[in-house]
Amino acid sequence: MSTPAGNQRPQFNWVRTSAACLRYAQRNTLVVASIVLLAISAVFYVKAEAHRAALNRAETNQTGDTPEGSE
Amino acid sequence: MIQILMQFFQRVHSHQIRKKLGVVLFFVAIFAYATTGFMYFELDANPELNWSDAAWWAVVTMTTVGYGDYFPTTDMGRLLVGLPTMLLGVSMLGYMLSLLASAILESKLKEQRGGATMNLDRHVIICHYNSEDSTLQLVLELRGDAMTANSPIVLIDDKLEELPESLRLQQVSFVRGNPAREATLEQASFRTCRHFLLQADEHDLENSDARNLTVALTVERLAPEVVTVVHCVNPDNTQFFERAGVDSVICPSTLSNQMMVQELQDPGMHSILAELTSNTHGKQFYVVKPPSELRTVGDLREYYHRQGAVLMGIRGATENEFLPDDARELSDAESAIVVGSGRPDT
Repeated sequence: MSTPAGNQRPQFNWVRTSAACLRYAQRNTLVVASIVLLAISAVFYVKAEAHRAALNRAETNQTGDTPEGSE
Repeated sequence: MIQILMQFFQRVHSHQIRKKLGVVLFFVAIFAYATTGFMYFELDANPELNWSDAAWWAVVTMTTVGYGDYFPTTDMGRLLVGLPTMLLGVSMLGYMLSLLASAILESKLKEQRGGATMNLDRHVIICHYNSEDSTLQLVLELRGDAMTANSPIVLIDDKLEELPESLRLQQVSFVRGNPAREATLEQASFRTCRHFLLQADEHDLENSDARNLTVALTVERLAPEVVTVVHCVNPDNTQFFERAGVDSVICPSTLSNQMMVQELQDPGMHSILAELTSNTHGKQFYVVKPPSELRTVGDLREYYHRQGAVLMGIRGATENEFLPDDARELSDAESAIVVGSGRPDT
C-alpha cells in the first residue's frame, strides 16, 4: 500500500496486490485450483438447477398437469 | 482485505498442514466439479438424472470402480467432466492414501523413537536403559506378578535411539529425553503413574546417584503420591534419597557383601534368594496387607495356609519380625511376609 502525504487514506495498489496474489497462487497451486474448480462447480450447479426447473416446467406444460401446491 | 486473509493463512497453517489441507480441498473440489458437471451436461440426454446419481457416478469414477450404471454420453460431458475426473480423481485418491499411510508410519516411527506423548493411567515408569537383557528382565519381572502384569510400562532414557523389538513385544512404550526434565516426565505422563523405578545408569555409574537424585526430587515434588523405588549405587548416598522422599531405596552393593558371606557359609543361599525374589519362576516373597478381621498371627497363618502360602513374618513400618508366635496380636499398620507361588488375596 502506498501512503500519500497528508491525512489521506492509503490507496489500494492493484499492482502490488496482483503480484501478491500471483505469489500466493504459485505457492499454493492446489488451493487456487480447488477454488477455481469450486467456482466452476457453483456455476454448473446453478445452471443445472435452472435447466432441471425448465425441463420440469416443459414437462408440466406438455402433460397439462397442475403444478404441485398450486390450485 | 485480500492481503489480511492471505496473511492469516500464511501465519496460521504450517507447511505440512497446509499441504494436507490443500490435497483434501482439491479432492473435494474435483468431486464437486464431477458431480455438478455430470449433472449439467448429461441432464439433456437423461432427464431422469438426479443429484444422487451424479454424485454416485463421481465416486464410482474417481475410485476407478466404474460400475457403468451411469456414464457421460455427450461429447462435452466426456471431454470436460469424464476425462478430468478419471485422471485427477484417481491420482488425487492415490496421493491422499499415500499421505495417510505416511502419516501412520510417521506416527509409529515417532513412537518407537520416543517422541510420542503418553496418555496413560496407573502405569509403571522405568528410568534409564542399561541393556536390552537387563531391561527385558525387569519388564518380565513386572509382568510376572498380578499387581503389575497388565500395567502399561514406559521406559525413559536419553541415550537410546530406538526401542528394541523385544521390549516392543512386551508392550513397552518409550520416551526419549532427560528424566530430570519436567517436560520429559510430562511426556511419560508421570503424574498419573503408579510406580516409578529409577535404575542406576550403568553407563555412568559415578554420576548415577547424583542424576537419579535430581529425578527423584522432581518426581517427589511434583507427584508425591507416586511410589518411587531407586537403585542407589553408593550406600553413603542412601540418606539423600530418603531425604528426597522416595518410598524405597535399594542398594545392591551392600547386599552383595552379605550374599558372598552367606554363600560361603551356606552354599546355595544365592540361588534360594534369587528364586524367592523373582516373579518369573518358583515361589516368591510377598509383603501384603492382611485382612483387617484377622487379629492374631495364628489366624493369619491359617488364612495363608489355606491359600497354599506360608507366613514367614510380620513387617512393621521399618522393622521385620520373622517367625512370630501364634498368640501375637496384629496391628493395623503391619503387613504379612508370605512365601507362595502367587500373590495371596488380601
